[in-house]
Amino acid sequence: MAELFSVGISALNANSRLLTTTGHNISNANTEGYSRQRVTLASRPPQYIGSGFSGKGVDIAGIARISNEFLTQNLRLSASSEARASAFANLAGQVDSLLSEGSFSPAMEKYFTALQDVNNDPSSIPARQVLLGAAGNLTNRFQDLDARLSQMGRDLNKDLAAKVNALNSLAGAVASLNQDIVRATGIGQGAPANDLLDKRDALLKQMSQIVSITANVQDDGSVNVFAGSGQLLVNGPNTVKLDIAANALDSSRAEIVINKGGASVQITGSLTGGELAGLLEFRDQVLDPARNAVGRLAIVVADSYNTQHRAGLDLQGALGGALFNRGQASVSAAGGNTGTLSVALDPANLANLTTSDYALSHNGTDFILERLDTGATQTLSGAGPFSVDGMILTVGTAPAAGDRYLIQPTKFVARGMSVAITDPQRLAFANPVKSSATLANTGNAKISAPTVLNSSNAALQTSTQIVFNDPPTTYQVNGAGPLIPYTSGSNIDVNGWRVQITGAPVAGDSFTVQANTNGRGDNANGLAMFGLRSSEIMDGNTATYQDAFGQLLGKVATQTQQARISRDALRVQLDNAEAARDSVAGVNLDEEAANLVRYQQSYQGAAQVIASADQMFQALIRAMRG
Amino acid sequence: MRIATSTQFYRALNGMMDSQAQIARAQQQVGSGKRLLSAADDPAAAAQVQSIGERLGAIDQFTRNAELLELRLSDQETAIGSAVNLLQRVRELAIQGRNGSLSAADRGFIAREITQRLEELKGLANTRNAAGEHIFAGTAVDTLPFTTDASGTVVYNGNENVRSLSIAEGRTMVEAHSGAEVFMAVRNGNGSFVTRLAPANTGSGRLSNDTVVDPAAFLPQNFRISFTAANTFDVINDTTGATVLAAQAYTPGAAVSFNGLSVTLSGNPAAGDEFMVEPSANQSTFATLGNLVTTLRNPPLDDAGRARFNFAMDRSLQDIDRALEGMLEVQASIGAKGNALLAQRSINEDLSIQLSKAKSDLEDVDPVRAISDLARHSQALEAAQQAFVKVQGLSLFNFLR
Repeated sequence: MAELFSVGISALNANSRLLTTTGHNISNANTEGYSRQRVTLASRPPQYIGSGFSGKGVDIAGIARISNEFLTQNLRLSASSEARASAFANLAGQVDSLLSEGSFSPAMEKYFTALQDVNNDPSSIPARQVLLGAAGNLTNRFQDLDARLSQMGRDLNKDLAAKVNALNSLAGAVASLNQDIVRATGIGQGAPANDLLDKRDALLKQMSQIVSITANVQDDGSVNVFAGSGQLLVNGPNTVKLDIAANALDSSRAEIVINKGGASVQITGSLTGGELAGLLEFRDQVLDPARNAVGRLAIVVADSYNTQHRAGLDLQGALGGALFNRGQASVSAAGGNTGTLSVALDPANLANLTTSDYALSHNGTDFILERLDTGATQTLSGAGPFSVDGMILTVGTAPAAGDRYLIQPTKFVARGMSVAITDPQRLAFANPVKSSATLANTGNAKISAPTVLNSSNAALQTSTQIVFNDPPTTYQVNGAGPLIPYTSGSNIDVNGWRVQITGAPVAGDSFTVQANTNGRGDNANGLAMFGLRSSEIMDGNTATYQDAFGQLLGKVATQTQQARISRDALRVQLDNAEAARDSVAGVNLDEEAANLVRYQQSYQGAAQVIASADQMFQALIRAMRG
Repeated sequence: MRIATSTQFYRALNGMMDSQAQIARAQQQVGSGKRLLSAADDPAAAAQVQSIGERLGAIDQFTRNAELLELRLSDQETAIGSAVNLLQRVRELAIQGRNGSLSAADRGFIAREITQRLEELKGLANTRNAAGEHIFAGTAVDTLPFTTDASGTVVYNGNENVRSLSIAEGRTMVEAHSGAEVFMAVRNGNGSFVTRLAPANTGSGRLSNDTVVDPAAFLPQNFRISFTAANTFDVINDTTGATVLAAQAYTPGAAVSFNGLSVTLSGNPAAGDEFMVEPSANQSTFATLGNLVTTLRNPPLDDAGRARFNFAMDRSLQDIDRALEGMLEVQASIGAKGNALLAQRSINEDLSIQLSKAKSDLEDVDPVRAISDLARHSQALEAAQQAFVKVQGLSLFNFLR
């Protein structure tokens, strides 16, 4: 009878625990990272009563957490990949909409239209004012694009810092949970600290969203966490703190560092996966190339227009100057360099300019130039100056082995772009020289309008006569010098200009090329400036300005599209990983409801056992009294 | 398979969120009329749209340029048309003035009218367009192109450069003819050579019917027909000094041929009279009219003078014809440009329509499709919502009462 009480009580306790655990499961059905728990029961060891073994009731063997380490790890991995793709796609999408907004192409078109309107009426001051306005608008678009891209760079730096902070505090929380788990496991004599483990798994999942991690569980229940390719973040109760520092050669770039023996060691490159990797990949693959592409376009527009504008004559009769101002190529020297170096952009070599940055180092005998986007290197021997990819590298103080430079030819150019002219009269649309046939000529030869080959020739506008000799098969320039044989239509190049004479001249016929005074209606140089619009002067002479912008737009759009596709795929993968983990560890309320009914019935049964024992006892008492 | 309640919930929720995102997108497409909301939606199409947009902008500009060019060509055409009428009137007056029965006073009246016409012609040559530019000054548009200098000669102050406008990708068209070409560089004589009487001639001999008969043999050199006696002449090449024809017998009205050209000598030349045959030179139309006035104001007094007068009048008529020819040529060239321009404009318009269509195909949304998409996604959302309510209502707890 006492045994029956004891069996009944053990059943009451066990079923009450079952009900409590079911209640716990129901309570945590919506808790992030919660793994459902199951009470395992075991029948008590039986007692030998001569005729056999008699059962003694039930014991609670333990409370287990239903989870699968493989599925949990898979979920972490998926979360890392998805977070990386998602961060990349979101940021690339911002650049994509910035470029698709369509503010740049129309500004370029308006500029060309205004240029054409001046060509149509070169002496009109209002048309020239409109052109200056359109040119200003174009430079504003360049500045604006550059400012927004560089703002994205600064936001990205802040974002990196925030993510690194979050990672540090998560690592701290994991380390302190490690301690709690070790302690709890000790108190529980090896029984798993279910809810603490769930909490830690949830933290690890959050960490893996920031950066890809591997977690190694130790014998004492604590976990060691490594980021990327083996950077230790959590070691039992200890953490390694990550930090943010500006790149030594480009202060606009934040790098992730750790403090190792008092020195900062850069680990940016060793981090993979997670939002951090998404941010860093976006910076390397989209943001910096886009900013460089905008800078390169600014350089080519400014320099090609300046060159052509200098070959024209303004309304005041002076040769044109620069039309646009722009920023300069940037070169940063590593601390401790022996030599010095300056970098300039070569207006004669615009077609070879790339959108890459370059690393230059000296090995004691030669410079090694590495193009950072392709990794291609080339050796520059000798004292220079070196003309490479549209840049001219000029060595100042002699270099020593180990000297390092970061060369950014295009990155900081667009922000310095502006219109160099404020007076509409100074726009140089006219041909600086004009040609004419002497009215007294008797031959039928005609002279073409001159084209300018070299606007910096000092004698460009000096009045020059081409006089035909007798017989008119030869001519002389200014009546002196060698007799030059005449071929109809061939080029005559003098003083930096070129003309052609066609037809049959007669001895004594003469032609004059001279300064184009009063040519206020002339648009020869304006037409040449408009012609730049459709000249393929970029990318190894394969692309026009608009082509180059189209290529940038197309490249970013493709990157964004691909990133979105992979983000969507990874999101599905993440959903599946989550569902797979939850199919094992998640709470199903119907299941818990059914269990609740079952355990309730068992509890009622156990209570009935106690009641039976009580009735037995009462019956015995009554018999004794009776 | 075991499914966690939260999985069930989130799956249904994700379904609704996806549908909502699709609806928002379809709505934006219908609202904006654009299929491409950003370049990433279709990078290849976006790059094409950008380049087509650029070409369309350029074509618009080319069309505007062509309109302006037409306007400017017609400015010149009008001015030259008036100049042609004016010269034809002068030609009539010259024929009238050549009439031997006219008195000196009559010729004076004619000379006065031609002087008026000369001023009128100068006015036409100094025409300005609507923008205030001188249309015959070359590119020196702000300079008054034709002025009379101290010696009474009309001089050209413009230049020979002419402006071009872009009318298509890589195609420019010259918008005008310089005043030098229209009014100054007019070949005198017959365009190849010109005849002249030596001022000291005493006879009444003169030259007429001057033509180039063999262009291949014609050289632009100076020749002189020199009468050694009243009925004998030599032809001397003054450029080389060679005698081309020696001791030719003179028959009045007979053609003399040398250097690929032929002239007719008539009248009664005296011994020592000389006739020059020289290559044509440029002579301004103003000078032609000025010469005519001078001739008319100096009536002939004797036979030699009459010969000189008639010869000079013939020369003037010839020069007027050259000027008219030149202007008709310019008119023809303007007409040809007008036609070319018309053709180019129609090419530009066709191209513009074609490109607009291509652009629209690439970036514009098909409204029927967009609206049916919207309806489809809305239905999907409704279905997802109903499914959510149904599934969420299925709980065992509902039955445990």
